[in-house]
Amino acid sequence: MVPLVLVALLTTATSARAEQYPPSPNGEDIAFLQLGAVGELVTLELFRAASHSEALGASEQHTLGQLADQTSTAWRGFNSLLGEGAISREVFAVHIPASVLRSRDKTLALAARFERLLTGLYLSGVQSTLDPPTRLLIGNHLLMSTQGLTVLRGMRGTKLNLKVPKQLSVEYVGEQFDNYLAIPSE
Amino acid sequence: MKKHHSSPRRLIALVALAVGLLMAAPAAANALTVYAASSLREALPKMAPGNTYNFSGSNELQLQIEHGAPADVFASAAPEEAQALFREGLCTRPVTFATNTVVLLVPNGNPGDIKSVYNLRNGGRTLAVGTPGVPIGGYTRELLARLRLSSILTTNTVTLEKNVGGITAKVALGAVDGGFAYVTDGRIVAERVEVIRLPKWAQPPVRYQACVVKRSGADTAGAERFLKQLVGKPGRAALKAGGFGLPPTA
Repeated sequence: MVPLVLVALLTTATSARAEQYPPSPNGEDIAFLQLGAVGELVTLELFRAASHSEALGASEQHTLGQLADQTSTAWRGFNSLLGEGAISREVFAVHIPASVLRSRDKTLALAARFERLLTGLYLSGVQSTLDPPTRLLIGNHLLMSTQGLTVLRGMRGTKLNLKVPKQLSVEYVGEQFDNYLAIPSE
Repeated sequence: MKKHHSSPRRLIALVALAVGLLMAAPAAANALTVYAASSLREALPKMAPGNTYNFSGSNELQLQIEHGAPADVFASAAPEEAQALFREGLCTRPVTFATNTVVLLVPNGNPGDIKSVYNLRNGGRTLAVGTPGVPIGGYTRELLARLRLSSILTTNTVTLEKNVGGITAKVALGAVDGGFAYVTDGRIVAERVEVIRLPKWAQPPVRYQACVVKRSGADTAGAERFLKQLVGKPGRAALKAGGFGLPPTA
């Protein structure tokens, strides 16, 4: 985890430069923004629902509410770049199984899984994107999802994990999030 | 045998009658000229059968209207074309009336053995794809970029089609291994094609927009009635039956 956090911090240090040169995704860079927006929306819906779930204690609900706020910022950030293609609740409906929300363990496990998927996606994005400001933006999202993952691991009481998360392909992450999506107009 | 002589008075009366009938005919039949995207070729005539339809690629229809084609209504498969005519003062503010989903169609029996869009990375297959200017062509390229699969347009043999009807026909005839079209096109030729769904997360927002064409001689009142019908219950029922998605009601 430590090397990953360092990478993310270095990315943040250069974010001032990213603000000077706004992201202008080049070609298939768009894949990471689009899937990032979808993944953040799915994760946001889980955090929002979990922050009101009776299966969790009051302080856990509060923490998940904070994570929801952070995720909402990330989702809106991607959407501002996607323009006409922005990912909204009108475009996609998210279905989190009720059975997950009735169980504290299942809720936290799924939340951690979503953050791992996002972390893996952003790691791939940092390596593959062509436009440098877009790469920096994805680096900032990598930092946020890493923080979220650390918080969730703490809540689950899992052992300290020093392994660097795996890079995950757009294909794999897309397939996983697709399981929770529906197109409402269909 | 009685002889018939055409007196000038009789001839004038006949001509006047013919002219009168010609002028009355469109109003009586209430026939509008509707220029619409190819993908609407089944749904619109079912909703309003009495009209004259011209189905083609939305970009081509836009160009024809810009050159004074006698359209009363324009229904486009993407907002760009209708919005361009609106900006040029050639049609009223467009309204969104339907949505759609991009899919991969393969001929019955799937001779190219395409299980998923990701199989196309291997190359060596033949594909029917819309030209970049036509909405289905734009949506396809957008979707492939999101999937990081733009390269499949060079690793496979691609035939470019001017409208989605051409793509559907090529797949239905088995002339290609697959083609990117709308899910509604798959339904039109359901007995001849199989539909491979594409990842939901990568779907571009396919929005249909329609407007009343502004030109001298246009049946504006009729066109407005058509548009009202299209966004109202009859239109929504016909579109839903054709597999289209529907925007939320206003």
